[in-house]
Amino acid sequence: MTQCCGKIPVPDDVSEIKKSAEAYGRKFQGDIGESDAAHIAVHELGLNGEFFDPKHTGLDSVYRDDKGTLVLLESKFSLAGRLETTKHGKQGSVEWIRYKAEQMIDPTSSLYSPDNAKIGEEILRVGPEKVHYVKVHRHPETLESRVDWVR
Amino acid sequence: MITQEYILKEIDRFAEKVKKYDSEYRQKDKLPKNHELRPYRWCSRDIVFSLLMVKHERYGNYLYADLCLIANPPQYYENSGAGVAMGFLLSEAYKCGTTMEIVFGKNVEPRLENGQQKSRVPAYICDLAIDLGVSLKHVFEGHISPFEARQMYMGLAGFSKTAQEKIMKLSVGGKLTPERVCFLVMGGLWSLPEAEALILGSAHPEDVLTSASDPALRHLYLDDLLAARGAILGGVLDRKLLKKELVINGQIVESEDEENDITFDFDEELYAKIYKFGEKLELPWVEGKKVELSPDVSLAVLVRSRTSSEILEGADRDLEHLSALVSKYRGSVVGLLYPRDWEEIQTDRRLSLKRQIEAAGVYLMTSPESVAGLDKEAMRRLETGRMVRHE
Repeated sequence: MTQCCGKIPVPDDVSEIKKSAEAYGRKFQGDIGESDAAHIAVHELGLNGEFFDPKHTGLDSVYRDDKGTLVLLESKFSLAGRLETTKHGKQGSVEWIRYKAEQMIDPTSSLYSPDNAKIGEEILRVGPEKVHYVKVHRHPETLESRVDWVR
Repeated sequence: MITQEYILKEIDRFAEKVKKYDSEYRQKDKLPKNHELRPYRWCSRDIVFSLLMVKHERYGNYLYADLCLIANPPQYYENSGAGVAMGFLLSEAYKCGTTMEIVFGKNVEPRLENGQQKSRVPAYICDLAIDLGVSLKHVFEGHISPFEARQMYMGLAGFSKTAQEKIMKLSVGGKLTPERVCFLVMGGLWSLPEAEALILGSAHPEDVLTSASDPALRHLYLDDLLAARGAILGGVLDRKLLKKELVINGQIVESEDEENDITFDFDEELYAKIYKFGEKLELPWVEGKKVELSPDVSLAVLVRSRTSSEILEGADRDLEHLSALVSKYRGSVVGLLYPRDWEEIQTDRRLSLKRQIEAAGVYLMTSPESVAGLDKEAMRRLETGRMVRHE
């Protein structure tokens, strides 16, 4: 990051940028982990899907258990499968969930959509400590999946 | 809503502009004026953070961003792309002499409102504003006001609360604008810890940061030079501690992109730098000893950029300050940093002084930089600062 540099590009630079944008789109590796996690959530954990627009830096998916409690699901498709620590707390912590819920109801934020706003409002109404947070980690080499109920 | 289709369309528009720029300027060996549209790309290695097209809109005196594509690479911290883009937009707005207002063109994340295409402030920039605690009031009108821009600039530069208060005090007194300080830091003339040392540790930071004193005004200029010299010596230590050395094939190589995890603080009362570490490190420039720094212990360093004669003259005062530093930061590793000029002191005087320093429980650190070198760098920075917008 310290080496991030800006310059006026030459036409060749832009054609390379376009090639990679066309090839990979906005997400690739994450999609594999997320579709796998969705399968586990529905078929193994018996959760019901909620209307939710997954964005780039928010929650991966949202479900509801048989008692009606929200279950936020994070999928990891990497060797370590660690939950990241951010400026607003560790992923899955009460502080982090509250911050994301606040972003989801803010119409200016990239995490906002009408469906996400409803979920964000519910998280803030019941309290972020009262929703579940589950991590589904799929190891990219062994392809084994592990489910952790973080809260 | 940002779709892949939108991204590809905008990249096409960017490519068209780059091609036009190439034929109109690069091939003719010409440079564009500020009020002409210029395309920029911001990357780290092969990772793109942002693509932008900007110009100074002279009639409204604002910065106009005709294209603004931002990525949020997962390998980097949250909002890194927006941070890079905003850092550039704000610095460009300052450089062009605008009011600091930023307006986004109608093609930036467009939406239809009453049959008309309207832009907005990019969503990732809004996320960054939320992160920095800045409330943007004109998101769907597609512009950032000068007041909001100033708040975001201060947040992005990353000044501590104490430094921010002092900057605002200087600003209210009409001595220094916060935008100028942020521009100097974001432009790399002063690093953030160096600027904080100047703001908190010198009597007239506004003179140094605005390069106000002419060399002909000898005393004023020397005063600025001394303040700058101290900040630069502290900066040399910062960089040494930040530098990560990796072992590849049995050889030590310096990493370009990775730095050690360090947090900086500054003690304005004693002119000392306080460091906290996220990992184990070795204390640099200590002769004949290997001192390990660990995450549970902080480091307090008294920075004294003195010539050999000044070291001898100020030795008693330095020892007093050292004992104050040791008692203030009990449990920390304490160091005293002198430039290389220390070695010019007569051997017996030097050894006796070293014994006194070590008896106080302090490590003597001698930087490879000499005062002559530090002064040369200080003069360069004061001269460069003279060319930056003044207001």
